[in-house]
Amino acid sequence: MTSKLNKSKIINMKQFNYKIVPLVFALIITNFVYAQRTVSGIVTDESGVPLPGVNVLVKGTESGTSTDFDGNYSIEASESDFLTFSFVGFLDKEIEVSKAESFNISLEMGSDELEEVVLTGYGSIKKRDLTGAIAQIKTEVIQRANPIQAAASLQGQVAGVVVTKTKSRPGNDFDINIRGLNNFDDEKTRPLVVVDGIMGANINDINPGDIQTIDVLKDASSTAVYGARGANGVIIVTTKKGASGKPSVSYNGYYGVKTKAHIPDLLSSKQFYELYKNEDRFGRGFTAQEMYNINNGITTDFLDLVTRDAIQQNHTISVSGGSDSTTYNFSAGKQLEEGLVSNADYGRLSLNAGIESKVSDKFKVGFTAYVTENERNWGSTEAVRSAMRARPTGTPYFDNIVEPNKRDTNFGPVGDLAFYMGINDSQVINPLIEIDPDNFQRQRKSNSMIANVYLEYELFPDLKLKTSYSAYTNNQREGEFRGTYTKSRKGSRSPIGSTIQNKASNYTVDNTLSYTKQFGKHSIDATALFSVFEEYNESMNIGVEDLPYSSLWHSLGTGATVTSYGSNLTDYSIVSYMGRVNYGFDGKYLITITGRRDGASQLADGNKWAFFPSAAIGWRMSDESFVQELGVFDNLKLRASYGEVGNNASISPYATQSNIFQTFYDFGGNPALGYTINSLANQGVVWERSKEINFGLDFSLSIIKLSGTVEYYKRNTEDLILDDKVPNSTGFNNVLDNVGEIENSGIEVSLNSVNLSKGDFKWSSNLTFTANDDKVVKLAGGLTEDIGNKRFVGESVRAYYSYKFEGIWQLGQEAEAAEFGQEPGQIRIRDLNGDKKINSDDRMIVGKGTPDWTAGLRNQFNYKNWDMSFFVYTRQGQMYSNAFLNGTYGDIASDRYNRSADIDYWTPDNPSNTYFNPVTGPGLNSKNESKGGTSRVGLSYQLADFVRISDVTMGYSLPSQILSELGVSRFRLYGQVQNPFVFTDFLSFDPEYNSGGNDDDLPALTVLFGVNINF
Amino acid sequence: MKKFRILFYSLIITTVFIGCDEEDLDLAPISQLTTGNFYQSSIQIDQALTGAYSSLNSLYDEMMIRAAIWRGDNSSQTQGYANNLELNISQYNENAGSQVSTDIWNTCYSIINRVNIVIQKSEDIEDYAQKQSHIAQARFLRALMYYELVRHFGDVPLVLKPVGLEESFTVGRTALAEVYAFVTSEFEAISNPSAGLSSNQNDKGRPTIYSANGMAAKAYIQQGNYTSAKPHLKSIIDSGKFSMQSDYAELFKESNDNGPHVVFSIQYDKTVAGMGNGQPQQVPKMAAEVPLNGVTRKQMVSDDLWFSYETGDLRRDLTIQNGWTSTEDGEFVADDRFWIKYAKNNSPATFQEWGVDIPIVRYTDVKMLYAEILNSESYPSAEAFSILNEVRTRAGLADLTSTELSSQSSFLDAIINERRFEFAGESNRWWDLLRTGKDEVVLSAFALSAYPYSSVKRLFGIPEAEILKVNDPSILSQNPGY
Repeated sequence: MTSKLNKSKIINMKQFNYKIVPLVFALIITNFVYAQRTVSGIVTDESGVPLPGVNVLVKGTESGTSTDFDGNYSIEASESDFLTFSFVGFLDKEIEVSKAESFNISLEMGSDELEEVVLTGYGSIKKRDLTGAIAQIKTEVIQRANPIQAAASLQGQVAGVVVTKTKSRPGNDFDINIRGLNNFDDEKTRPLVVVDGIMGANINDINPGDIQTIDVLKDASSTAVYGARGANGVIIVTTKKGASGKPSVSYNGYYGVKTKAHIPDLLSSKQFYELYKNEDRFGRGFTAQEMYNINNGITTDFLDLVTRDAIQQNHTISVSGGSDSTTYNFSAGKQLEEGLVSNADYGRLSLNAGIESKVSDKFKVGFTAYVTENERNWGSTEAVRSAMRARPTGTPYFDNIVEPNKRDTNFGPVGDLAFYMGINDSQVINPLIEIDPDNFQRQRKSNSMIANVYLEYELFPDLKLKTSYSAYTNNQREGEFRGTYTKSRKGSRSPIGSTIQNKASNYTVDNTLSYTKQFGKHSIDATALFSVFEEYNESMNIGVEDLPYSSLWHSLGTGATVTSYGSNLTDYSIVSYMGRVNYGFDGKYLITITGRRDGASQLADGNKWAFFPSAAIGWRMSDESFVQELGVFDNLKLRASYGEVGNNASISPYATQSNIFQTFYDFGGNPALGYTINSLANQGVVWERSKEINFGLDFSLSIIKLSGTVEYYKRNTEDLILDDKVPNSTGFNNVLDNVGEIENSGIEVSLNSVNLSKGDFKWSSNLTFTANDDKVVKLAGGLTEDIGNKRFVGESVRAYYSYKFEGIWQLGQEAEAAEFGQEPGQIRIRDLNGDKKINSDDRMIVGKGTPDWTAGLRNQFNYKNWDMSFFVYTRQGQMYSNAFLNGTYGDIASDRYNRSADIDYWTPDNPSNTYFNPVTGPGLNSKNESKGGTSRVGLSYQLADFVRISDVTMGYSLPSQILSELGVSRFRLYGQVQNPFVFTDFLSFDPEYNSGGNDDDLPALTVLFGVNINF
Repeated sequence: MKKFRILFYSLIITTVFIGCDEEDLDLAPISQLTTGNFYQSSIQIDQALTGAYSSLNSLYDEMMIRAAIWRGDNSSQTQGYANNLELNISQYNENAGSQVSTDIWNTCYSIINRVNIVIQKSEDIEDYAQKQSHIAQARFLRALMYYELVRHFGDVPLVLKPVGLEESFTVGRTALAEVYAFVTSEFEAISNPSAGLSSNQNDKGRPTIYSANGMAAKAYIQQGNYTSAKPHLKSIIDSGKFSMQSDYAELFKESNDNGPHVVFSIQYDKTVAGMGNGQPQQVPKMAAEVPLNGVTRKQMVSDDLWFSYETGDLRRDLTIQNGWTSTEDGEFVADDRFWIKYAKNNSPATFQEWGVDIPIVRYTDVKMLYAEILNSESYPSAEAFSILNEVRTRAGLADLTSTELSSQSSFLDAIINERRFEFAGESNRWWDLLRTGKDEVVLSAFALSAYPYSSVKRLFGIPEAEILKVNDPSILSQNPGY
């Protein structure tokens, strides 16, 4: 696996340090004391795969070596010596030379977590010395389940991070929230992503196979180093770097097939007819052609027609190595994910190069560049929706229409397809027409580059100066073409084409001074930063109508009419000073103090500069004798922190200036251009500021192999920027002001355990648990509820305010139902004020759109050369207004669209308490079933709880004998099933998101086979 | 030394790549104008002034019509309203939260703020040729807005410079008399040619000194002050630059916009989207009599008005459409009457974009007010009779003499009555009733018993939203009856 390749890089770095040790001198000394002999052997992992670069050391001396490419080592040692074998990612092993039966050593996977290094932003720290809440996942975890987007690998793997799928389209982005929502606007509560030190880069630009670590900074004391950008948490993505040693080459690839899965059954034409045959009630009726299909048992599965089995594959090759002074790494990757919907796909090509060189003893330079090309072809926005909406009684192919009506013949065949499918509905057109690339294409193509160059110089021993210059640029072009026969053109309007081009770029200069020193029992690690950041966003768009031939968006000049055009530029800049001191006494008592001062262009004079302080303490109790005496803990650390951070996304560029917009007035027939102020500038606006306390406990038990972390936090985001009312003597009704407050509090647990380790068999687990409670504390104007914006003090940030579904009126409740003008079988809505009427006064908080808790469980099994793992993820307590029920994908209260056959409708014989009687409709508001607004809306709010087995993976690594014959150091074959099982009561495609809008794809089950080879 | 060189180089790198000082933090957008990069030149002051004018369009083709016409006896009390909010106005039942009064308040203060900015910012710019003119036009617009505010709301906050966020919560109401005094003194001051307004009636669309004189007179008369109003009206008449049209039908033709019969009007242009007059569209949906057939609202004329016209009054059919034909089914809907004054003889670009202007001060208005003043000075006034009969002749009606109008008060009644027909469908009627104190008698007789008139409704309530925002009755109090 590439992961192992990288371990070898790291150990080579360590080895490098030994160069300064006068090795020979040490050997001479030991030679006088003990009789020396040569010990040699091979070091492998548990499955017998040789491990290159394992550090072998004679205990208590400076004498050491490391294993070669084939895991062989040879070292001089005396009979009384102990040899220690250490390798990152594996537990250290110690043998006594005199008692050793064999010098072939097998190292056990695992690591001394305390010695692992996490990134803190502008620096790093050993977990042992960490005082804040920072979690890290490594390349093994990131790559294990072969995600197309690295964000997916965070789901359930890092406590406190909630990652949510937003669509099933290939290559789609994920929503990432760290410790809840800090703003009503989803766009303003996204974490800061830092890729290789570059803020504002996109995690989706990175091939997950190129990522070494993802560090997540959660509490405010940790994110305070990012000051005004820290409020929503920080995700630090670090790509793989080279290490000195022989060139190491690896290839990782897989090929898989996606098939649609977990799709609710849809009604057959017969079932559909039976429900809605009463034309007087439902109005729409059935055409002669539909009757023909019904009578002949013909059902059209439109979802099946618009989808296919799709391909998902990845190939990544990397090379790294270097001399003592210079290291390099190169990689190239290609991913492809096809959509189940025909003609939709996502492709990414990534190229990565890095070089670091020690120019002199004190001078180091480095350069990295990461270039990506992304291409998303998303096809029609309507493919899935029209396929869901089309009645099962429809006839997709024109030649199969035996009873054409006027609508069908008027339109004639489109190719071999029937435009209206013999159905009496002008809003639903044949989805097969939508997926035809001649009719509808959308493409987003982007190139991005992340580049960094740095110079590091050791000014004095322990004091380093680093100057780094980083640039990020992303050029994106979106194109859309809609032909005459798409739904939006309805077969009568001419084709339209449009394109939008965006260029985003940012530049960062960081000057960092770092000082590390140990004085007796005192240790100090201090960092000072001066940083300048500038970002530009440019865009240009044009849209035309009446394209004479099918040129997509590549010949817009031929369009007869220009329907839209424009261009725009926004920019902003931030200048920052940051200081951080980590102080430790005796390794037991730890203090971190951080302060960052940011000046930002978005803010007005007088408020541009803001200071963000934080402090954290840690107490390594396991170093205290009274804890050691217990003999229970290998590690026990208590942490506490407080910090304040700002939300850079809360104020858009120029928001503290009043915009001037263009108007006209006519002077005697001569229109004159005028400009007028259209908002009141509030120069007093400051950043939204999050204040957070965090308590953490890290432990690892010595009695059983269990370690973990528990965190509690409470964060208040104050000075929320909302529209506040202002007297009209200003000329305006409202103004942006710092008026609201949101509170998030929660508990996070991560546990790592080795459940069983016996002989060649090992079972280990990792569990994360995340519970967050978000609530609104304060709103603009001192309001306790703002119904228009659905904001309520004391309730969730995403509170749902609607009618409370109370089940279905049952037989025997006729009299009670009649008071509301209803009858058994109809939806019962809670009559809040008891006035026997259901109207807007009966609305209440019925739920929320944020989860109570989420959890992820990863299990890993190893037996000899075999490995097996699976991942389980669950989310509980989050609700959606189910798009499957509320009309987007199908209106369950009318005969208009197809729907799921799994709906448990009420009938006199089936006293369902979940869905109404389709014959009587949902009731309330109207006898016309399509309009049972109030009650239907009440029904649609449903909990979207689910448990998902995200993947099951099984692999086999070739044994070392075969490997050496093949001349490779590692060769693993594996098979993986992604998304095999989803357990949920939420009737939808995918309970993870509110699937049911347009512009989506279907959920898939993917079976793939892959290989990891290291040369 | 080497170490310092390194330090030095890294600083250079920083400086070269991103010249960094605090000026980097002062960014103004390039794609957009903001207060940070606007109001910098005389041209931009002119554009900002045009920006202030632009809101007059929606204020006068919709909001003022709602407020003035719906409340009088020219408009039906029950028919033609899209919703309760509109109906409430006509039924004298609106509350302080009414969208109609809130819109007027908000728009007037929005224009006042724009004007205050123009005046303030123009002071920062070196003198230029049109500076006086810009400031005088700005003052005209501001005085016009306070004139509207004071007669709709009574005591109102009088802000004469841009008001900041915090200050706005402390701004209270200024007494009605004081606001009127400001309005009249401003109009008087800028009616002096040296203040900067044009004395050329051909300066189309912008207020002239005559517009200022006309508004000064109207503001005085609204307070019952004939004496102060008279010289302003006289100066307009004596200028010789204005004339009444000889044909009433010509008055509201788009082609005659800004003709010599207009002293000041709100300008509309159908050739630019958003600048058209939406008033004429307020007709029954699918009325074949109106080009492009209207939209939704039917602003219905009261039976009282329709049946009050004298036989032979040419103005009646030029003002009111009596019944209409549906384009849907060709059926004729009888006895359903709506305003056609602005739509007749004009054609729109779209159903809501008409080019015809809305007059604020017509020369006929000036003359009739002048006649009213002459009558108050002495009875019988030959000049007053002459003006009244000039209006009646144009309407195709017989002259009235001291035989028919045998007293000073009967002349006054006659001229107020004449104004009802002359200005029907314009905004004058409601204000005439209020200033002459005839509102209680006339409107009590007109109003259906279910929707009685009360003199409390002479003023709108201060918009409830404003009261809530300030939330301190000692600063912003409510009018009685709300």
